[in-house]
Amino acid sequence: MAEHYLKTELDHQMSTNPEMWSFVQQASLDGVWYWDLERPDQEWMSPEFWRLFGIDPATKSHNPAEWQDIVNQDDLKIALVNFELHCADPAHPYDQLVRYRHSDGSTIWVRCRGRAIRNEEGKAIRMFGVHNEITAVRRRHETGRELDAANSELRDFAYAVSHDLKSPVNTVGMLLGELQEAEGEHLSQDGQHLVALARESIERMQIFIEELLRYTSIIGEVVEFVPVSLQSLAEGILQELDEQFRAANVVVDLQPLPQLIAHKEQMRLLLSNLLTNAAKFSRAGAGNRITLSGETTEDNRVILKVADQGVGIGREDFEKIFTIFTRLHRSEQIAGNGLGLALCRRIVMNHGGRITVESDLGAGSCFTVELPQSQT
Amino acid sequence: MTYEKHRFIPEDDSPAIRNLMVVDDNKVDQMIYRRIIKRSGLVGQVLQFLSAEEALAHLRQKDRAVVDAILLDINMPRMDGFEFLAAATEELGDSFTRMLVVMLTTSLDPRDAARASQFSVVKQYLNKPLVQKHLEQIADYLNRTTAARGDVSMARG
Repeated sequence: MAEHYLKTELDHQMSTNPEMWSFVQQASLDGVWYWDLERPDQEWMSPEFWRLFGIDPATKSHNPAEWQDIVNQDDLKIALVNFELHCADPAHPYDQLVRYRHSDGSTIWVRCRGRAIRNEEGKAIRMFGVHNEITAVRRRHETGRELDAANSELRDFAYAVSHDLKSPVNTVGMLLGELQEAEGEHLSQDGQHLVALARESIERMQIFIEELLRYTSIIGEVVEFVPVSLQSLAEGILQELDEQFRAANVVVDLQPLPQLIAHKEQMRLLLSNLLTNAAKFSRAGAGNRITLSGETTEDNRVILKVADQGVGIGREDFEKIFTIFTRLHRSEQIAGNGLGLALCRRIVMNHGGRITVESDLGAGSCFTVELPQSQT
Repeated sequence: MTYEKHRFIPEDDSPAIRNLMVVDDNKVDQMIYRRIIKRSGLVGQVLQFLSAEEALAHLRQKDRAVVDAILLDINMPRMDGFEFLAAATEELGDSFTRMLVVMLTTSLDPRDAARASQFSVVKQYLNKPLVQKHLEQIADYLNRTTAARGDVSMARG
């Protein structure tokens, strides 16, 4: 098959028009070098290379000893081995990551690639090479690893603490149960009432510890992003909550929801928390309709809205409700522990999205979740 | 070897769970388990161990009675529940008990689930605290597997 005419034309441009090469050099390379292997003390380095390390190119004399002086000595050894192997066999790539010392003492990571130019006998007589600086990429990589380690330590800590807290709570719960079961009839009415209150408190604490554990378990969780149908997730959740919602006289209007790429379990938690939250704050005797709707915007974002006709939230509390352990109501009024919406916000953050609320006191609230349709 | 042994229902009355073992290092919890087990009216005899090593030593005995079910705590000092499962399975195979129920303090951690699922003898999980319902489920399971075994022997006959 004939070569495309533009490819032929481009090759011609590249070999005849010097501006083409300098464009490639400036647009994609951070340094260029050209080494005379027959006179090994001669190696031309581009000025951009020296500027990477805060060094004035004018102070340099194109002697390889100059860069070998500021390169990490372990990395230099690897580079020299690769150099020998590449000269002996063109199939062995001269390509490695090396660290340089910046004039301010910091480390600069550079990917260095080169290829030998050979004479008729196949002997390497020149070496042409290019540099790409990748310090930012390396740093992100390292910060990511540190963050992963910190998160996993936090998860283990939370797991251990919740576990150690839960054991005695369980024991006290069982003791109270036994007291009620075995001695209940010997207790006065006042005594029975006190035991019942104690059991309720213990149950709340058990639920609280479980939810705390769930909250911490998603901190920096290694998330696997898969295609998720919010529609079928919502349908499943509504089936599970059916009894609870029926008892509270809550009606859910489920409108078509989009698909997105996300962590499935976290999406399930998000929807389920937003729905139970909306149901919890419904008003006795008022309309108890929750509307769950969604759309995909032109710029590939998924917008999800959960609107209720409940008690509403004052503007001054809009930020507070997403803060962990913060509650606006005493637990006798409305059950809860201040984790639900904090969990929602963390899930949304894990997905690079945001969650906001609009509300009128006494008229209802609307939570809006904005998520990228796919994760990169 | 120290353990507590309590008989609640005579063997002749064929209790739903003839022989139950409970392994948990918490003395108070063990005391409450005993009361709940007694009250359930489902258990003939219970053997209570405060450590996994002692439970393992008991299972090693050749002349011991068949164990119908073991309730096993996971977090114990020295030998934990998983180590107990590994040691018992390796030494005694899968038949050291008819069923084993793992007792969890908090809801199942995915890492624990993965570890526990490696042991085929683990038939159930229960979230503490132990309640009557859990014992009924164990009785159900034993009843079903007994019925299944009966079918097999009949088919052979």
